[in-house]
Amino acid sequence: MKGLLLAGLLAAVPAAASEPAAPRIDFSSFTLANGLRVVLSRDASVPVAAMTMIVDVGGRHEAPGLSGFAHLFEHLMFEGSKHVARGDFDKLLETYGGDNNASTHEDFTFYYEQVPSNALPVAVWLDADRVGALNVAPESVKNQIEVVKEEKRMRVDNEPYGAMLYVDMASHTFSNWQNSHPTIGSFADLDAASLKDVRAFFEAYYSPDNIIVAIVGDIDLDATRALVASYFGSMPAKPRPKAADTAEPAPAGERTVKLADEHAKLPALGFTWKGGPERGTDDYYALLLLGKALFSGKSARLYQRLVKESQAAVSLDGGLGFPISDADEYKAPGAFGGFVIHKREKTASELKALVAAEIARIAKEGLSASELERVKTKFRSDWLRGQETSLGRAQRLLYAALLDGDPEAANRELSRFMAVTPEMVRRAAAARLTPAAATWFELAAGEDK
Amino acid sequence: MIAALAVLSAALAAAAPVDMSRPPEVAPMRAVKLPPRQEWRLRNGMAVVLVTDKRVPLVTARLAFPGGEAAIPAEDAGLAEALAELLTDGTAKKSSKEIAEAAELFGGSLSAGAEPDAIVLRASALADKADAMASLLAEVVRSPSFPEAEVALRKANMKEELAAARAESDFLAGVAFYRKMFAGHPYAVTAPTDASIERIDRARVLAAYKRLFTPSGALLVLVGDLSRRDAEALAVRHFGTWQGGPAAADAPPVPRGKADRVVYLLDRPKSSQVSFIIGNPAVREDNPAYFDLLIANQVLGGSFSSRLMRDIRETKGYTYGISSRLEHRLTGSLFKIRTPVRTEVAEPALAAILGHLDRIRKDEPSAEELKQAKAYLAGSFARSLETQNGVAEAVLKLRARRLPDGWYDSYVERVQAVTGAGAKRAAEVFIRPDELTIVAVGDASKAASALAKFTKKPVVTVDQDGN
Repeated sequence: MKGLLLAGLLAAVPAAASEPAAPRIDFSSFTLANGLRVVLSRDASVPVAAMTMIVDVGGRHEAPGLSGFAHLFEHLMFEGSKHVARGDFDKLLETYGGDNNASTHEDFTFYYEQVPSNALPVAVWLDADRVGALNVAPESVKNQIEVVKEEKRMRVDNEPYGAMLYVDMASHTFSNWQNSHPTIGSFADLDAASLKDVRAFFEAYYSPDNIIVAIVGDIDLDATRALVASYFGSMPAKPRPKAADTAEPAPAGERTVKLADEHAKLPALGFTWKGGPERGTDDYYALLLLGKALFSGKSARLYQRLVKESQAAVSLDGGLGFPISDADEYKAPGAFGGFVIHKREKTASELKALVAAEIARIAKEGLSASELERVKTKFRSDWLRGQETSLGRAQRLLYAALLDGDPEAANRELSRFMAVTPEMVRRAAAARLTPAAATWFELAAGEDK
Repeated sequence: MIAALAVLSAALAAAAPVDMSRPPEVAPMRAVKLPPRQEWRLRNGMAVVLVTDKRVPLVTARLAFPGGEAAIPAEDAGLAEALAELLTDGTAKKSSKEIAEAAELFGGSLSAGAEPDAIVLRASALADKADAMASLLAEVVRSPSFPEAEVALRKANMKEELAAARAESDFLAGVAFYRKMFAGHPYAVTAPTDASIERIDRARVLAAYKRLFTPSGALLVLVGDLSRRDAEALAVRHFGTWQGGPAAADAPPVPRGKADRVVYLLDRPKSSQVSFIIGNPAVREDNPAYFDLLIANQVLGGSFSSRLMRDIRETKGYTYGISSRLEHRLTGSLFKIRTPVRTEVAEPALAAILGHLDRIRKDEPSAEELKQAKAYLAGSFARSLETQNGVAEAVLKLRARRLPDGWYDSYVERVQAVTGAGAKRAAEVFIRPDELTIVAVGDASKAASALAKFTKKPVVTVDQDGN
């Protein structure tokens, strides 16, 4: 691990008196003339490196009529660029022993390549070619629209609870279309996508000044700086449309939505509270940990209450951002939500009463000190585990850079979570998880065949 | 800060225009080996393997007991899974909730699962709490109490979970596939039935526990910020006084493969997809031809840019995902392809898959495919060593599957040594299109006649339990 003296010199924030919550991710950052931001971090323990990019465009940036475009675009980024033929991206990377994938989120699109460290220049070249000179060909667009539709069939339409989790909960929780439409998109919008729309989307959002790159692992810092500068430096920045207005009106009172799912064998209850906090606020840290205390693991409150004590439920999930985004990528306006698959002989109202009672109890009493301590210890250990891989460290630096506005947040945030008190949790629950902000989703299972 | 900026501008100034037309030249990959292991045995027969890893202040453990699902009679399917789950649901001193809380307090997790040949506990903790982790691991395997109420709850939940799983075509296809592939062998049973869940009770769980949980034959793997001295003390402190009978016997050898290709169909009315699982018997990792077959499989369907993915998904758009893999049990291995396809294209999709099987047997893979398959496998291995979990799983596999000591240390070399001719020969011998077991789950009214074209025998209808 890093020497104490070195860590002390590099620390951008004053060193805390107590031991650090996690080993520092040492990094350096710079910005190219075209606006591309770059974060580098070296750790040579395994001969592996991660080349990652976060593009500041996600489902929430889409214009009405173009739902699913951010995701469709993520697919097109693998369909060939000026010097890389269609289909060669994966093939080339694999020729060097690399692996890659990408994911589209509400607020951003994330791309990564993990390679044996000798092959890092290939990953940088591949990304530079597709960002600088993507080939948006009609047949690729047509083909990828079909692939995306098949993905939707598989994950949403043909999957038990898929429609509820990927479409219905967001669409009934939020009232601003920017927040309420599904990132996976609609078949109608995808089918109507023209080549012109697709090209315009690329021109608007895949500009170097809308992208942050992080390269982490067994790298030489100087050589990697030069590498990125030479491959990305000559790309021009492009103008972007005004950011979409994602403001969400205040919750309009408690609602219940009834859903049916012919693929589900067991009924389910979903719930969301809209009006989630901004990142970096007390309520954000408190609610994120409350989500873990309620839903995560066998000692979780709701697991104990619903699965063990009342034996009404089979499984559950939830937390800050759920089901629209993972807790670590949460961004306001957002929700706090949950999802419970329950036994056939129990009614939705029975489940709802149990959940509501537990939330009310927390709004009144908060968590116990020992309960919160346990959740924090687990959170800290999960945080450390997230830092084990070069990809994990790169992703943490990029999320911090984009969502918190500063890659140093990757080193700072854990101690903020560790500072949450039971009273902060109580206050946040009382203020935000109110009946008036709640939407309940009662899902009826299909008939037993 | 100023120094850093100076370096940066120097780097930027030096940035010459680059040749974008081809991938940059790269140096050879740095050597990769499994990190050094230290191994010893306690007097009671438990084996301990330690990998000291100080990259993060964490420690990761595996504790494996031979036997597993294959050691349980077919009529008790699900008992091994129930037993594994119930280990963490109560001990002489702790309730289920207290066990979960104790795991959170050491900043980690503890879970147990039944696998075909072993019951494996997986745990992790903050490094300074390794002793608390070992203490809890020992407590749940040495003095589980299997409370009546927890057994009843587990049983009730297994029924619900089974009902939920049956909503998934992939699950149903898996149940039927192993049922047919390993017919008559303990490996045929991969899921409980309503009837087998009904038989689960505390007495049966306890009897299975007594038979399978003994230090003799058990394996403890520790990876993390832990010295040999501390690891030895920890193992003796928590497991040293444990005594027990002999370990469970290995599963019997698996039956020979089929002589003919057989198609099995499970009707799932209105399903918009047909889920396929296709396979035949293959060979263990210590077979001399294993690495040849591994490369052949890799070229065929082992990754995103393999032939199956590129053709069936990318070119033809029949599916969102398709892959082939080699799968291993202690006494049996198989080659397997899995994919869900749109119902309307079930016939051309299956025909295309079979076409790829013929091609991989008939022609050597191209030099480029070969290079890619090798680099992928070597690179994947390097990446897996970034995490303590990855290292722990590799050590567990090495020991539990009784592979030669240096199997992982020579892994990259042996992958690199495979030739096109070797891969073709292995495919010819071990990928057997005329002897495939083909399982399809989908709307029979739409798929049955198409599937009939792929077998000389009648399509066999199976039920949700694969019978």
